[in-house]
Formats: sequence, structure tokens, C-alpha cells
Amino acid sequence: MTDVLSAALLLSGVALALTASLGLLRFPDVFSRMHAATKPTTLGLLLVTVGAALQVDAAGDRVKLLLVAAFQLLTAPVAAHMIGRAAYRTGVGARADLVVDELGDAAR
Amino acid sequence: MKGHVARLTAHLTLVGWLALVWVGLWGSASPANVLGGLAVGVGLVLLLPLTSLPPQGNVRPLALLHFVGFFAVDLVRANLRVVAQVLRPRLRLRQAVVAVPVRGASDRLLTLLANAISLTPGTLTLEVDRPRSTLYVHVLDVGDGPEGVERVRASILRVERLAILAVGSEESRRGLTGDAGAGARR
Repeated sequence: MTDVLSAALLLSGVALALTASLGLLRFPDVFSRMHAATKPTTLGLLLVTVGAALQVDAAGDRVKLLLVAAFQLLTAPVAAHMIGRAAYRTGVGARADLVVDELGDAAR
Repeated sequence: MKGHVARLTAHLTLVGWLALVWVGLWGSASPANVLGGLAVGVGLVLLLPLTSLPPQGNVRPLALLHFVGFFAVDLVRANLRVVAQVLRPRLRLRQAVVAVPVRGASDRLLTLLANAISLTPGTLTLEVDRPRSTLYVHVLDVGDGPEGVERVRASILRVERLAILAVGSEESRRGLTGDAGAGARR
């Protein structure tokens, strides 16, 4: 039973990582690729750590997996924010493709 | 004098947390690991001191739990939406940058909110305007028409309300209207 559950968790985590890479290929610019590449992998990683935590025996290893999840949640948004901000400021991110740009409007 | 005590407490808490992480990474709480962790923690706090934050009101655990629960559900739902967008045969993305005014924001509230937005698929905090307490959020797909932008703004403001209830200052909570306060009263 545990095996089935953890297999399901691992597989759905991996499936999310796969969609992330598909999105990276298909999406047109920096911003949309950031969305595809950073977020589904975060949830995917969480699912994989939970799946793995069901399989390991030592409590110490579970703590390590917990730390992996915690640091992913703490660092992923900061990295995504920094890349997105840099892309917007340097103009690498295609502003012309934006339907609405309230930041650009505010700066004007 | 009081400031010193607060600073010392903050530092000691940080050392304790760092030692805990250290012990967790080694996987066993042997005396050597605990001492090593404390030494590393003290070293890090001395070498890389954090800027100290002014006191910003208290965290309300129940409301924080509510925020985390809502966020977890939101995270899964938003992930599925992005997956659907990736798998769509014909790509259709209407990207936008939306301004979200945050009511009476402390640094802690802005940080929590900006991180939650960035972690949720489909929204990404691009810029933080602290003086005007406004977040600029990049949205992967706002949907059709001008009301799409308002829909996204409203959904982010729902998260903002829960975040204010969880970690906001007293006055920012009073600023919430109507039903807002009811959830957090204990």
C-alpha cells in the first residue's frame, strides 16, 4: 500500500517536471518560460520528497527530505523574482507581448 | 537597552535554527553534531549579520494556518492550469503585468505575499514598490478582455487579505472591511 502511494507521488512529481521542460520548449519568451520552469518543478519536487519520505526508514533521512522541501520553498520564489525583475528591467522580456503593462504605465 | 535584548534574542533564535538545520543535515543529534552546529551558527551570525527588522506586530497562528491551507490548495490548482496551458495544442497566452496595491504593508507582509505569488504558477512578482506598497505581478494568462486583469487582481487580493490576517499589523487588519475580521478573531 505504501509502495503504491509513494509510486503515485513519485510519478506525478516526475510528470510535473516533464511538463515543466515541455513548457520551457514551447513557451515563447523569458517570462512565460519562468512560469513553466520554476513552479511545476517546485510542486513536483514536493511530491517526490513526500514519496521518498514514505520509503526511507531512518528518521534522519526524513529530516533531510524535509529540509530539501523547505529550502526549495524558500529559494525558488527569490530566484524567480530576481530573474524576472532583471529580464523586465533590461528589456530582455518582451514587453510588447504584454496585453496590459501596469508597471510600464506607472513608470511613465 | 531593550533593543539589545531583542537583538540578542533574534540572534540566538537564528543560531538555534542554524544548529537545527546542521543536525538535520548530518542526520543524528550526537553531541559532536549539536556542538558543531552551534559553532557554525555562531560563526555565521557573526560573519554575516542580518539586518534587524523593526517589530511588526505578532503572527496569529490560526490565521497563518488558514493562509497556508488556502495557499496549498491554490498551488495545486494553479499548477494544473499551467500544465493545461503547456499541453494545449495551440498556445494561447495573454501575458500581462498587473499592479496589486497591498493595504498597510509591513516588510514581513510584503515578503510573505511576494513569495506566495512567485511560488504560485501563472503569477510571478516582478517588482516591489515599497514606498507605495504595491506589487507588480507578471501573469502568464489573464484570459480575454479587460475584466481578465481585474479577475487576477481580485484573486491576488484574496490572498493578500489572508496574509494580512496572518501577519499584518493591527491597523492593516482594521483596514479590512466587512466580513474580513471575523475569520481571525479568537
